[in-house]
Amino acid sequence: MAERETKPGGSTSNEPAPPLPPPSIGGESVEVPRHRSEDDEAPPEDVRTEVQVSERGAASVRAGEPTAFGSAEPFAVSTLEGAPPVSGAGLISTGRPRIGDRLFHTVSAGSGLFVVLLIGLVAAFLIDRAAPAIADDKSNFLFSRDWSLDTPPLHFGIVDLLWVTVIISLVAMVIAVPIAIGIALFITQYAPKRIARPVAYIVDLLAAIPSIIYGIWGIIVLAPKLRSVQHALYHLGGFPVFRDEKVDLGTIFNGGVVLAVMILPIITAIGRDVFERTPSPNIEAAWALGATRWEMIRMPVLPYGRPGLISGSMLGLGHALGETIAVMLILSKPSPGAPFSFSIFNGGETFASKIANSAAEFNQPQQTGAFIAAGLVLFVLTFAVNAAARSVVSRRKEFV
Amino acid sequence: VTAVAPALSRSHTVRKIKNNVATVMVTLAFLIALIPLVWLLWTVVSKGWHALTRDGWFTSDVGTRTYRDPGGGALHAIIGTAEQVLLCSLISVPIAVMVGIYLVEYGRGPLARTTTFMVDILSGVPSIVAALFIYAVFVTTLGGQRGGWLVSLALVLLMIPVIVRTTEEMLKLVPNELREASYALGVPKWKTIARIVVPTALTGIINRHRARHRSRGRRDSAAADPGRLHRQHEHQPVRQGLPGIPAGHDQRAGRQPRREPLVHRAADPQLRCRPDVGRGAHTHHHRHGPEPDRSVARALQQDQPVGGIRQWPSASMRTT
Repeated sequence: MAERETKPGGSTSNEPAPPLPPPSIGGESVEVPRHRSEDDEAPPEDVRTEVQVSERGAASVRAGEPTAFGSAEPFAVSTLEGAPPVSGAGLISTGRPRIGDRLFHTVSAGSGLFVVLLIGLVAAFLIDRAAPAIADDKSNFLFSRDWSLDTPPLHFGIVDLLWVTVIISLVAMVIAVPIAIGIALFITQYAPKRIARPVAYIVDLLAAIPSIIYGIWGIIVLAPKLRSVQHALYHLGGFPVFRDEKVDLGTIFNGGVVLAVMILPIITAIGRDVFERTPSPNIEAAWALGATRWEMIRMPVLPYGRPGLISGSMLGLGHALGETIAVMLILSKPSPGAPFSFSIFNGGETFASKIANSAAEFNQPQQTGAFIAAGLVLFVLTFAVNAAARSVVSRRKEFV
Repeated sequence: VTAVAPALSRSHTVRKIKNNVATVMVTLAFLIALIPLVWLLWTVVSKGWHALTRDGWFTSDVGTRTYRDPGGGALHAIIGTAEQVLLCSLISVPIAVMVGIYLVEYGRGPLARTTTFMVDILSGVPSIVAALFIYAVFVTTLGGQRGGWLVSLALVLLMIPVIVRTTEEMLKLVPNELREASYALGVPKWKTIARIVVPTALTGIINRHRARHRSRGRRDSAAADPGRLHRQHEHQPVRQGLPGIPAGHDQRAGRQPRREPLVHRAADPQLRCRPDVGRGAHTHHHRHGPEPDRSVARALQQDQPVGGIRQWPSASMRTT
């Protein structure tokens, strides 16, 4: 069985290939090891060594040589009387890959390149369209709260949008991350397997609901019910984010709660995945030391899953930052010129909801450019968050 | 001894209390997650059912009515959605499937690494940014008009990463023995991919394509069911002569270690049904899925003739 795995598409002739078995193999069978041991060419130990060598050799050859097609080893030689031998799949006598292979490789690699270029194009076009508008901006793009595009001298800045985008996502994270960890633990560590699967299924179902339904439900049904919670938090006071209560309905708090529901399945899915992969020796060791279930979770499971949880949370954050339609439906627009407030009991607009709200006003390139500039900031933000999440995972891979 | 015992029992009590509190909290977390789901479904059904069952909901359109006027239906929305999804699929499916093939069958080197990274980034691009990009290209730069087909183009950006990952997962499920057997018979690589690898994987790809992109709900109702794939796998061998390989077995583990972060794939809810792909973990599948049929694999190991194996691949495929 091991021998079979060492003969994938890439092995070529310039590795120190073990001597091939005599062409006693029928074209329909590749049970090489069996025949080899029957022929008794080498003792079994030697066979095993050869396998390891060729495995390493094949890997390195493949890494350096992307154009190796099929197998160059003619290990499917027909023994039928008078039939011409069938050569290996990879190379024909000229030493060049077949035209079909080259074409297929080019097309598929081209598709990969297309995806890479697509991201590049997104960045390039957003920058290209945003730059003139930012250049014409009479306010400071990064540090101004203005947003007036109606009269020719443009005044726009992203402070308000950035604040609302970040704080609404943070509210969502504060609510969703602990609950998601709890659910993931419930599914992987607490619930009996019979229950765990339906539970996981139900949580996953939350991601099947389109965001516009979340938005409608959030503003019509949920927000009125959250009013009392909001009052309670307001009277609790203490933090600047709870301080002044500007509006009852359509607050950042409402939006954050709905976003929390929306990102819950994402974080839960990752939590489940990493918790399930906790090495069972660690868990058994904890049990053997007489740990309670909670101690078993706290000692091996949570530390092992931490990088995964961090990156999963960041992915959830990325989704929350970019969520458009639900946030747009829920958040009430503050009147222009209203003083800046840290309160989450306030309306506002995120990058995405601002752009979606104003899509009807995209009539002059300059105005459009202002919104594209806002979109560019959002793109950079989500790019950074996703790349960071990815780097956490790949760092983790090094020691796992 | 008398001094230690009370301390021990106290710490024991504390530990017990902590454990119970944790159990309650964890169970509570699950119940909390249940609330919005049930509530939301109830809201949608109770408030929408009467409109849905009214005459003409599926057969008439809004026309010139406003939302205050009686009558009308969703026909225009249904047709528009279908058109946009169809156009979007026509563009993105071929590209994305080829990207998936590239990453699994060819992918190594800097381009493959960059592609994997960019697919990850693309899956994180907010829909509004995709829309702005299309707007910036086709309306501001090229001076076109807004239109439904541009929506399809924007959806392409959102759809490609989903399909790429699904394709990758499905291709990685195809047992390596099939590829090797094909090469051994002199079938060139491209034909092996096109005629053997992709058809074998196709069932899975199509099943997952049903829940395609975010605006229409990102998850197939069955995608969260880990058992489903095992069942599919069990049904395939008849057609392809696929040896009944245990579905949880990572066929390609010995061939190439996968580089992409698993957690990222897990982030995509649609891939949740294959949490063990790429890490060779057997435990999960034993716990959740029905036991796959190993009889064929066992027969193969014992060198017994198995139906379908000896006829495969067909004679037409051996000639190039």
